[in-house]
Amino acid sequence: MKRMLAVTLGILTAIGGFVDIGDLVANAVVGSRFGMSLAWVVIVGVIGICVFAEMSGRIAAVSQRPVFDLVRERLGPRTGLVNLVASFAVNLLTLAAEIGGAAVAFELVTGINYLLWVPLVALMAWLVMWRVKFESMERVFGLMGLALIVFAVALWKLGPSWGELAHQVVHPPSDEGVPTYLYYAIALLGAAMTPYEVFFFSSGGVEERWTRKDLATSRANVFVGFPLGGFLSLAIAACAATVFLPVKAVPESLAQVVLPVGLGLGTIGLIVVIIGVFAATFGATLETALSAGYSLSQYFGWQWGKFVRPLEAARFHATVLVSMILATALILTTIDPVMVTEYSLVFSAAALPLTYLPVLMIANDPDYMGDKVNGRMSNTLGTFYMILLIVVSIAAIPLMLATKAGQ
Amino acid sequence: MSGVINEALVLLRACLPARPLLRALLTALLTGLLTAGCVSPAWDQHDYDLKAGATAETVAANLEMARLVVAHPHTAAYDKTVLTDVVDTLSSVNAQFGGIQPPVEPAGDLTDMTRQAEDMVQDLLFDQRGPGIDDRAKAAAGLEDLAKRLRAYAEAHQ
Repeated sequence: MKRMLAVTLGILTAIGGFVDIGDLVANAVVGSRFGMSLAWVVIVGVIGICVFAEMSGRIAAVSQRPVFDLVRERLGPRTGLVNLVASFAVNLLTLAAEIGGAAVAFELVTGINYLLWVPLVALMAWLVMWRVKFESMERVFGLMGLALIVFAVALWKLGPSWGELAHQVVHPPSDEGVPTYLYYAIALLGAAMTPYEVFFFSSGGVEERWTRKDLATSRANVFVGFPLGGFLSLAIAACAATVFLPVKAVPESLAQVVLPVGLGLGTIGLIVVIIGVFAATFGATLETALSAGYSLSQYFGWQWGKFVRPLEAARFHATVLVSMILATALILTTIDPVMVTEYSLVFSAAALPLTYLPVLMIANDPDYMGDKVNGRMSNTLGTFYMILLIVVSIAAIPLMLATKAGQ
Repeated sequence: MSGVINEALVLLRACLPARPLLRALLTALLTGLLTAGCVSPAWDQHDYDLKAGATAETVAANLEMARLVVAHPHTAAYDKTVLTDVVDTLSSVNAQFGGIQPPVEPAGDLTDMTRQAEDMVQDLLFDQRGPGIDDRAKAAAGLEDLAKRLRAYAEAHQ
């Protein structure tokens, strides 16, 4: 019974924790411009993140070591450094966007400009990372993130033409060009397969001291929690397709992203969705800040993690703190959090092979994995996704330039 | 304006390295950056029309967003935030389009409409911050009407 409860709680946390500012922005913008015609990308992205998160969880459970720890050992310091630099830069950009998103949630409640909330959000996040236990931190914000289910309820209350939404799935709007369509497909894939999710998932497995016995829990989180998180992404896109597409409005801020919920469910719905947005962005702030510490510490072989006393992992905590300060400074330049998010998604997409290739290689290495090495199914899917991600990473930056970032 | 830029360039040149090629490259880069901050040229009338059409489209989309909030009020803080975002965007769009050098003649109708759009939403924001928006239905209808005119303009300039 206790085990069932732990698994259920893990799944709920995975659902709530799946959506972050990237998913909120990308799905709302895509829904408002392309209707549901890019829903297939969300499905491809969710399957992809499931494949690689399962491998990362398995690596952590079998070797009791996180992915980045093994990347340097398996690929050598130079290749590992390229991986580290790319992932760290994208992660920092994502962290800045998440802090901005959490600050905007406060603005929506108080009406006070989000820039004034940015330092407070950063301080709160640092205090939570410093004082709160890893498991409590993950559970509280993951479960609060479940409030985003209100997007699905609002969609039902808005009463869209389901036939029209289904029609949009296979009929992209004719007034949008193919390059713009592909650009947003890449951004959406970047949102679903953000690199920090894998670092955090595997490092989290080590923090929670997973062993082979926990493989079933890890797989339940991934194979049930993540697809249901993907369902939330689709609900966000469908809400935007229902409210914004007919009047050709495009959400340009987080405040506008949640408007369909307010229209469908009134003020109560709006309050619930703001709580969900805060939980999703604040939770992701914690995950990305910790991921910065994880990746750097694991590469250089420093003591890391929240499971050891801060004094024993001083460089890990210093990295987390410096990352928070840099990201806060970036968002305090008054740069638009939504714009930071959009760019971080495309750069994420460009860096995806660097993140996922080592995971595939290590999960295939019997020296590390023993009898838990990848099976035929995992390898087939993993190879398919590597080819796809390489194509995506080559196309991402040229498409961004050609379409003026999707304009 | 160009006099100020030239004087600034003379000063900057004095600070640039002595190697001619490097100096020329840095000068060209700085000149490009400085002038890009002032204007964004349209290559020909067709290019200008496309930019005008895109501007009309963006302003219409933002008016629709404002209309949705005005017609369906939520909390004061939320409505104020959305209207502030819309005003910021409209102000930025007006500034950007105003900086484009028209090759033949400026799009006077469009400029009037986009400025009217900014003023309308700005007034609604003032009301929202103060006593509240009086006649929401009328305000929403006004926003919708202007958005329709802008869409018609955008379609004519695609």
